Amino acid sequence: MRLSLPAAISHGRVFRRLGLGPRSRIDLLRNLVTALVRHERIEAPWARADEMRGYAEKLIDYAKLGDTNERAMRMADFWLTEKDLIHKLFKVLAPRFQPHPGNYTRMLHIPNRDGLDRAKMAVIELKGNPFPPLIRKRRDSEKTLLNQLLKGYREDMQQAAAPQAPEGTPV
Amino acid sequence: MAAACERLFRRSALVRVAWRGRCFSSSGYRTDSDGKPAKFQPPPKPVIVDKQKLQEERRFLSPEFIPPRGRKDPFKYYMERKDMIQRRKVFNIPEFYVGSILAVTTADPYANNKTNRFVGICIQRGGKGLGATFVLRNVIEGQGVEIRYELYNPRIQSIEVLKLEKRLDDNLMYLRDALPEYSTFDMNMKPVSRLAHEEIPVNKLQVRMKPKPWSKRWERPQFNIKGIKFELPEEKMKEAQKWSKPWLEFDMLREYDTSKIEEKIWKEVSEELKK
Amino acid sequence: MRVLQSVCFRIHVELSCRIRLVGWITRIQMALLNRRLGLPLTHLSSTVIQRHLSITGACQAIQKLTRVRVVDNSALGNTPYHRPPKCIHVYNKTGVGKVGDKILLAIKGEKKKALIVGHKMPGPTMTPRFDSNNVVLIDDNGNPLGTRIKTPIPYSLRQREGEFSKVLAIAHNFV
Repeated sequence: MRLSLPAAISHGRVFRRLGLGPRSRIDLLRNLVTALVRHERIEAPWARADEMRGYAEKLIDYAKLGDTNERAMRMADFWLTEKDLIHKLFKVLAPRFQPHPGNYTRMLHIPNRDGLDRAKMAVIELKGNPFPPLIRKRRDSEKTLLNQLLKGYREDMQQAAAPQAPEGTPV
Repeated sequence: MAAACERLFRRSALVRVAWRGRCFSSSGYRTDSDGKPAKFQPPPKPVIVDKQKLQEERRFLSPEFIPPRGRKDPFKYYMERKDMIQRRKVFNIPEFYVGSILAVTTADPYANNKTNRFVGICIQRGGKGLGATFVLRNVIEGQGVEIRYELYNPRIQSIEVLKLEKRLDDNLMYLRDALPEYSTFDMNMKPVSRLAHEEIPVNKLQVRMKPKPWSKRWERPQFNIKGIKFELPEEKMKEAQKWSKPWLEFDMLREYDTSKIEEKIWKEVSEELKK
Repeated sequence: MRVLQSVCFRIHVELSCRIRLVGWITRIQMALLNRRLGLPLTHLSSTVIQRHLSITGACQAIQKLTRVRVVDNSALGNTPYHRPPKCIHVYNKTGVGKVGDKILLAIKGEKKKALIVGHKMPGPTMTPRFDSNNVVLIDDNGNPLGTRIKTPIPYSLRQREGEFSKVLAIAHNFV
């Protein structure tokens, strides 16, 4: 139940309706969480990814309690439909996020789906994953020839404009 | 020598049993076995262990202090807490739970002596902040009566806990549909004494119900009632399970963890009350 | 028999909770049973009728066709009858009767006025709420028919002491 959402989901509506009902909604999100834990970066419709994000983060919060915690174990058992991932959750992800207080995932827009529905899509990933970063840093283009020439031109213009100003002021 | 040894042994044993009064007087001044008066040894000071103090005082934060989950400005609850503390400073609101038996005296202009006393079992506590309420229920002359009191209403003159206990459920609204003997209490009931440091006892009573229809279908899993002895046929109970929602337990975003808020408010309230 | 019951049940559910078909359901059932089993079921019928078999719960507030409970000791209100007393009119402007309102009752085939002294619907806080809809029978002049009221009645009735002094005089218990 998220209570700080954009106005689109307000007036007491605190979550989106997905699938064929509440049961189906949870099952659908469960499969997404499992996929996220397995692949660490997945593409999904934006609404589903956004709904799933809260659950994924809460699951990691639970995993941080350790695998001796009974409730954490039950949660992991429910949310990960592929049971080999329980080990990964407690032994890989929990130590990875131990120093962080929250915000374990990153979600970005990607172009709409090509199919019929043109759904708004997103890519969601766990932070600290081994894949190349989604946002590539812009290359430092300052040293290119064109930029250097432009920079020199700008400096020249400034120097040309500068001597005139002090002459004008005393008058 | 053997006697001396024995005495020593006894003495150490006495120390171990934390110095009962009788032994205390006889241990220091004994003469030794060879007649010489023994060198006076001051007895080790008895350590009085007060078991009542050892156990940490039970913290009780009244549930209406904890703000509900929502987008409302927390400042509202802060201001209300101030007023609640003001009221608690001049009026003793005791610790009680759903299932406790209370006696409430209210000012009533139409009653005899202008006061009205009602005894009953607390079946519900509702509301947060200054508008918190509780419902008392009793059966008088075979007629079930419930009164909903506002905890901070200035008309309330005293709240007296006659029996402090909990039940298996947090809401006893099903007593309306239970047999009347389960909600019948004597109006002149004497308070049941109990020690301050004890745990609150949980009354594991399971009530028997009147025949259906009930005001709610209490056998349904949404109510999750443990305090009813259901005497319904097997298939009815099975049918009721159709409404169970086992996934709700795992819906982590529905959880409302109040432990941190509780800690903060406890600190705030206890500091204010001490002033 | 079972078919009839189910049919009755369905009709019953479809109608609102106020309307009860109990009287004739039981009578038809009894007649059928009598015919089929050939047993005299008079003793059974009397118990069934007295229990006022009804599938629906009682109304919360008192409105037209609400079944009510007469709490005084008048003969009219206490002799068993196959049909429970029902409110057929509420003498106020909202049509919803609360404590202190007068209503018209259909009781044992007669029309009688009554005063509401308690209802299931929760009123304002610090006022009692009762488990049944209680009324006291009064005549047209406001004099109660019975001589005592056993069940507790709310103190708040006393604020209209002048109007109901005779009813309040026969009350034994206040809450």
